[in-house]
Amino acid sequence: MKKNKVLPLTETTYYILLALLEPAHGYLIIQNIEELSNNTVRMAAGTMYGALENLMKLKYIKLIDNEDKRRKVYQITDAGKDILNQQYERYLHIVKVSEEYLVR
Amino acid sequence: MKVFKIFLDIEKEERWLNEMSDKGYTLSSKFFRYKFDKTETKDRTVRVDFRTFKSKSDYIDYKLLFEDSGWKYLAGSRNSGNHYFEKVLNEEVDDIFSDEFSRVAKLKRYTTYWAFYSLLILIATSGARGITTNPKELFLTPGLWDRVGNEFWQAFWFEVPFVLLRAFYSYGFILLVFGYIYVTYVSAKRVLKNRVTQV
Repeated sequence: MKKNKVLPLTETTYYILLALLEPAHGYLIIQNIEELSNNTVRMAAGTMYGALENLMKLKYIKLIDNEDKRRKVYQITDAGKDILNQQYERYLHIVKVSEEYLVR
Repeated sequence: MKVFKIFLDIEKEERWLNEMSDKGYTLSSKFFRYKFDKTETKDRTVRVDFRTFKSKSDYIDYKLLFEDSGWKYLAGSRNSGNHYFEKVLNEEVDDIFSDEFSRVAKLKRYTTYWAFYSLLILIATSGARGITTNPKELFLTPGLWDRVGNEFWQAFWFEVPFVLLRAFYSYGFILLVFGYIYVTYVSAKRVLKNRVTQV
């Protein structure tokens, strides 16, 4: 597999991509991440705005049409799903090796 | 209340606005000068972001994301660069950034903007600006340096104010460059000071 510069994804990037398997606007993503992470990840507005901008540049997410014309609604792309899966595999590996050492 | 003040350091500006907020002055607009309203609510957190927008819809979406998250948009416009927010919800989040990466990215946007416009002014004026290292060449009176005594000094002092203007025009860009270096330095220092060790 070719080495990807964006890997490993940060925890917040991972959660954003995970949340965007369903279409959502910025604040909804913040709320969904809070829920997904058991309130351990609370993203601030400025950080979320910048993160969405970066992910758009990388083409991991895209804009989709919605009724609310004023709030932009995003969804993950195929390239985004691919990178999310790669990170998922990395997490699985981390869990697997940790179990060998930690859980004895 | 209207206050005229210039900040090169965006973090310093933010601290000053918070001091004003502590005294009960809420920023209501910023266009060259700061305009404040006296309000009952004191001690509200004020935060400054720096950004420009490609389209009006980007700008509206940006403002709404902050307002959804409990930040009231106090002042700014699509191309103002600086955007001022005030926290209105009593939640534990009291910053518009939640990681170091985005905090540093703001300072980068700010310094890049500064550098870009300094360079633009430098290039735009370079044609008209004969750069000289010999101060005598800034005096344009024909035969000035051949004159002597009273005649010389009279002509000399007469031209001095014009020479100063010309010199500023020729070398003013150096001020801009130093301004840029100062901004970058201060920002970098603050970032290093606040840096959280990331594991």
